[in-house]
Amino acid sequence: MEKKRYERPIIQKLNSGMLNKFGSATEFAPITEIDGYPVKRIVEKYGSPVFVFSERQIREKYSEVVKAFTTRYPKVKFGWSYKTNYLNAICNIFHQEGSWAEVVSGFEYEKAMYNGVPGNKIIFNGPDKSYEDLQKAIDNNSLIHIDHLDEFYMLSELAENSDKKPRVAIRVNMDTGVYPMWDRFGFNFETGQAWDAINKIMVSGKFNMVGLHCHIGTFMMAPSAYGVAASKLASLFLRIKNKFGHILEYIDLGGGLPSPNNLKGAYLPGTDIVPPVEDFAETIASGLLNSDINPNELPLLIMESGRLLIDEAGYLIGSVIANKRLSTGRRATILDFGVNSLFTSFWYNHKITPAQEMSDYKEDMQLFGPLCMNIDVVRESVILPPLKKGDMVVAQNVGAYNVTQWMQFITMRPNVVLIDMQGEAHLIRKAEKLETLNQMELTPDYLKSFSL
Amino acid sequence: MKARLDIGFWTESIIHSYTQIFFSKDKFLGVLLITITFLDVSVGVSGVVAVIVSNLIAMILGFDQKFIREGSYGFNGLLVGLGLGLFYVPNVAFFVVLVVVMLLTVLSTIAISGILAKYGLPYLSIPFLIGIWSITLASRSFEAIGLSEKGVYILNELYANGEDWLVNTYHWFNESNIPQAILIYLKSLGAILFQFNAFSGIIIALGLLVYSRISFSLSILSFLVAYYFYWFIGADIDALGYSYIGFNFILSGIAVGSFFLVPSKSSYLWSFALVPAIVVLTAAIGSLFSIVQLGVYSLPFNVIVIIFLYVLKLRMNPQAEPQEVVFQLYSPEKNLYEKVSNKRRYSNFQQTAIEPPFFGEWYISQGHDGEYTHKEEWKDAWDFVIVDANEQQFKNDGDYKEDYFCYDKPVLAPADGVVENVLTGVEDNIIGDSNLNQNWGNTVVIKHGYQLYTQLSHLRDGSIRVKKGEEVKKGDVIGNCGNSGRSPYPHLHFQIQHTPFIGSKTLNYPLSSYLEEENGQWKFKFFDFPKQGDHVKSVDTQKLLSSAFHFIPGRILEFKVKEGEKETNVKWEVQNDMYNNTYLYCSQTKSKAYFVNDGTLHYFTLFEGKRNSLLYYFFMGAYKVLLGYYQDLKVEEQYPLYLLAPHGLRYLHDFTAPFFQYMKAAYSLEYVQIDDDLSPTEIKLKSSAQLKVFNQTQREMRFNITIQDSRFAGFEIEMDKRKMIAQCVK
Repeated sequence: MEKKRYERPIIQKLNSGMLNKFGSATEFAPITEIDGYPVKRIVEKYGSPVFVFSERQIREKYSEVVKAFTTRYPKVKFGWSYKTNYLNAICNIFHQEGSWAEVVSGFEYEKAMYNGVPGNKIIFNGPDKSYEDLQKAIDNNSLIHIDHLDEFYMLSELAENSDKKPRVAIRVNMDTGVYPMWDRFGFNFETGQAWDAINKIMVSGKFNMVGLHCHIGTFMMAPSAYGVAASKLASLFLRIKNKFGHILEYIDLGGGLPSPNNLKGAYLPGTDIVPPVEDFAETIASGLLNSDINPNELPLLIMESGRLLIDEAGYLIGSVIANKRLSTGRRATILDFGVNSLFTSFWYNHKITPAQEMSDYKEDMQLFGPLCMNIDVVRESVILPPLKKGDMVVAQNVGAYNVTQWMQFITMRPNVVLIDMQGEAHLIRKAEKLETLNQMELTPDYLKSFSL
Repeated sequence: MKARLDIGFWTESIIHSYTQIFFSKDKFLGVLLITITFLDVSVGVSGVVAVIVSNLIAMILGFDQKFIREGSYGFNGLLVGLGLGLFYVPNVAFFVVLVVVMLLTVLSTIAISGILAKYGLPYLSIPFLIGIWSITLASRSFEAIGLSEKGVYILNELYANGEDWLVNTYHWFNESNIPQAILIYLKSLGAILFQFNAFSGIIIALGLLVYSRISFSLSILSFLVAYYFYWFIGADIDALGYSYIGFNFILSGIAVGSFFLVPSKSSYLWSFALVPAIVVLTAAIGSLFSIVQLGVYSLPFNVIVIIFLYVLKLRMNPQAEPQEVVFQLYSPEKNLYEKVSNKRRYSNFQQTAIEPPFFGEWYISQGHDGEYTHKEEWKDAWDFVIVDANEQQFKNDGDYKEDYFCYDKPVLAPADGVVENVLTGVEDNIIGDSNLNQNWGNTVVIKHGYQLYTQLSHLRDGSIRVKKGEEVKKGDVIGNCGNSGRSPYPHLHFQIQHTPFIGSKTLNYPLSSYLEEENGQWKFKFFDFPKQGDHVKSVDTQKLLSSAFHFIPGRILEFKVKEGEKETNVKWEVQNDMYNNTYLYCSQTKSKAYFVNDGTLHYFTLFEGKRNSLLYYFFMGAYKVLLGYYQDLKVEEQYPLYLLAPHGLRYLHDFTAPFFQYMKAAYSLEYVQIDDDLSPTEIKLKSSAQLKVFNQTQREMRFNITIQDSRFAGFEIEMDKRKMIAQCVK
């Protein structure tokens, strides 16, 4: 039998609070394994901190989300949002499931090509596309989503000298009744910029206009906004058909669908306030189906959801470095990961759970990362059982944006592990080492030596 | 009426009037039959005159030239003419009477066909009976036409014809030791054309054999059944041998066993089973008619066949065995192979296509003859739900209707139609509860055609978007899936019915086209019935494929065909006839390829014409094309055997084909390549036609079809070391 673990005693002010029949047991059941793979073994094998992704969860979530749309609308395609998580293994899971690629830079474009995504299944978004990027996209017949008129002019120039007609869509921004309104990307609907741009494209005759795109915001909590967006795009679709007799191939509603994460400043946990994907699918599908578009001409619906699909499948396992008491008397726990690895802790109060059985006693504490910087706060306040050095914790819902926005700052980026469908672990990104960084650096000869 | 004499038309209408007697349009048989009638010149002349007069009368009355050409109005007149030619001396008065009788016969043909057609029944030779009986009874008081003695002593006729060999053959026949059964069979066969001799019988039997092996074998078999039945009941077999009644069994055998019914074990058995009934009827009518000295002729055959066909139509399931021929091809073999090749299309010919009433993939929680509620009057219905990868219908604990994946999903009109009935206002149940008082819950009934309605039930309260009387198009959202009525958990109840009432008796009617998952792969299903536990989804069509196979009448397709060094041009035109059948027509080879395009599927139905034309290869190569692009999907079908098998090999097979088929003509189509999912410009398909004998491939044709910009940019044919490449130039 394992030795019973020691937990330091806590003194807590008696606080009756609201009464409930369940008492005040800790709400955080410990996570001791991920997809049947013990957390302890992951750490033994791959060190701490370590990112873990569950392939099973990715695939199950994907099919759930896709089904929510395909059972409401006849033609649906998903484009995997590379910026959300562009680890090759992760991208390829989505590609295996049938996702196209949605990229927002020349680098991401190349990454998608490297992964083997056919050029005509890459959706090229973003405000920054160079001549070279655009030329490549034209040659590969990719779907270029024009963000601004300057891009239109660049494309016109290139189209002039190309025997291929660039396949384009425009990004449209609009008032969907939510704040803040994103109007820095694309062309505005209400002011007529979008219609103006469409006319320029259609009249020039140099383009193959195939779709309309919008991306109304991020972590959107109001499904109704998507309904508005869908019907506004549908109205543009019809206007194009009426004026030019041209039927677009698709309408791309972008992403921005929320995951059940706890947004900072939200009063209730994400699981309680984030609308289910069904609601979003419903408003989008009915927005299009209820428009005047002829049922035989319904465009393909493209979704570029990232966060919704991957957030819950990602875990970050870390260990306690030290315990401290702050001057105010609050408990502080220092973990071996901080905002450098868990970048999203700037936005979210990530759910953090112990990775071993603990008692029901708990106290309020602050979680800090390992950085020697004041900003490195993982949670300002969290109620956890008394943790001691070496205890492991699991941060949840970390699949989106962390392995792309993480920083190599003070420490190195850790290992990333994938638990496959059979419950086997695969290392999908090696932890960085000194050599990883040094190989990028060039030191002039005269700086190569010094004596102290 | 055209002033110009159309020789082709008249020749054909004459020949077909002869072949119609044997339910055939076989020209070879026709020529044989005409020749035989001229064994007695006056009979032959009288026959031809009768046919021409009959057809002229029908023409003057303005009847459809198609039917005149088919001999439909001529064959009864012909029979009367042959009879009269035999019984009476040909003189002027005779021909005048002949014309009068023809008028009577044609008028009765048209009148009787008008009456029987309402019941979908043939008029067979009833008009002939009216004609021949009338004149037999009446002529006793007509002095100008005299009875001929020819029918009495046949040798006289033969001598009269002055041909020695005829007489010799006749004697040889009578003296040789041909078994009595065969002799009577042959005589009976000859008697059909009023040629009561074995020699004519042999010629007719030969013609029959060339025309159809199945008809030939049936003619012998049913005759033998009659023969032995006479023997068994102790009736006078000689009566069979000296009267015009033996052919009743032969004709009914051919009619029931092979022509009106698709040849099969059961059609054979029925044709045999009817023989004793005809024997009884013959004897009965015979004794009755002897009072007035009238011949029975083909009356027993007419009565029994018409009654039997009518009874078949009244069955609970008219598609059960024996099955009626849906589209008459005037060849038992063709009818049989057509049916085998496309059982599903065959039994659903020209039926309204009903497609799955939803978007995406659904799961059948209860199918036809289900274990819960799909029983008795309501047995032919489907319950659809949505399940996840673990075949679970709900998330969380499934305590709330919102937990169910199918809840609130759009429900679509399964075909174009008019909303016939709407029931709303039934609250959705809590999970586990059932509202037995309002069994069907919120329901929409749509009318799609005559006696064809679909009912969609248990919809969500307040979700129905259509009103009674509103027109809906296939795929229109009519409401959302719910949990109202007798529905313990959310599901969509879907049934097809004859009547517009909510909760009508269900109809066993298939879904026209859908995809079904089999071992992780999607299979295309055509006029089929998905079963409980099946995953199904509707077909998503591909614009490029749809437009390539969208043959609008008037569209002209021009091909440049290359074979080795040889280069030819081929031109097809899309045409349609007055029955709304559409076909590709190649004027150079006079070939026609009939097709159907229901929006989801293009399929060829019938080919007429030259087997070495490009159109034939196109027919074979694009026999059935699903108009959606699904990589790795295989469309498989069987051709009617006669399209691929060489004659000799096939003729042998014909004999056993109604019971056992060891030859197979298999079609298979694969989707090879698409250059872009979104806005494709090129799609490549690959298909093959294989003739298999005992599952060994004997012959193979391979086709590669390339579609570019909505046209057939390339069509390659490979077979027997030949290679042809056709390119659409227009």
